[in-house]
Amino acid sequence: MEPFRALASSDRAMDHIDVSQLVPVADFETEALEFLPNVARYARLLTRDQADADDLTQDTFLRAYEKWSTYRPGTDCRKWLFTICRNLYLRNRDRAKRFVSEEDATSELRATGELYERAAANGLKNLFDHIDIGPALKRSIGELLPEYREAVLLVDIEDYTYEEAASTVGVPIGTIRSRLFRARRRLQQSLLEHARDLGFSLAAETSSAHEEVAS
Amino acid sequence: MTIPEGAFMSCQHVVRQLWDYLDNELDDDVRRRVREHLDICAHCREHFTFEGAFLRAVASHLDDAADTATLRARIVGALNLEGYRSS
Repeated sequence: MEPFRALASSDRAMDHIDVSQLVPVADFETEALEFLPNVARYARLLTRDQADADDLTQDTFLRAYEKWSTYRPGTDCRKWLFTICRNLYLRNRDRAKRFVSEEDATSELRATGELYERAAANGLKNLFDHIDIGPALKRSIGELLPEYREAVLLVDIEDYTYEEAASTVGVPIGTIRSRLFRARRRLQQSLLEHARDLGFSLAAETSSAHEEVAS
Repeated sequence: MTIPEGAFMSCQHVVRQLWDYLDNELDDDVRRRVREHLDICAHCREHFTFEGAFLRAVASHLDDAADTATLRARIVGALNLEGYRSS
């Protein structure tokens, strides 16, 4: 039995976790993860967007895990988690208001890379070539916040350059880039979840996917 | 981002250029170096192929232009009331 375990091996925030602070899983699980439904509800209330809420909830637990040594057992863990959640939300919101940094685009790219690795590991390399993802894709784009949807419409459907899209919307190019990258990552995430929910035939996908050989 | 001049790009650098590359937003030099990497790195090549398929799926499934025939008739009808005559 492994005594220590990372929360989500594929998450980008894992980069910042100091291994020396890892704590036995049992405590964190019974004390903190117990309140996941409460934190998820709180995050949904703050963000009013399901995907943002999921991200915020995940970030909250990753941060809580990172700071677990500062939590005093026996005190109100739910309140402690809510405070983390709220601070992360406010910080993200303020940052989004002030400027959209190059860092955001880079972290979206990293998350997109992780999604690909997950898809590949599950034999879903050909997922986007399937004709039947159309309805799921339309639904997913409908769930995006308007500014993300706008970036996808202008660049992916109208074939605008980043610069043209930025001047149409009246924001800096960096903002369009990070909105676009984020929207794409969200759409891919939804499609992968959709494929999983359908119990996409992983074996069939894997056998049909031919491996390319590096020269 | 700083990439050493003339150096072979690492997978990490290449992945950071993913969307800019697929969206044709890179200048010629960087584009060529990404291309050189993809030519010999099967992993990145497959990743870029996957993302390219995604962009094609978005473009083809979200193109609703065909849905506007009814709307066009309605608008032309309204224009007609304003004196518009289509040729």
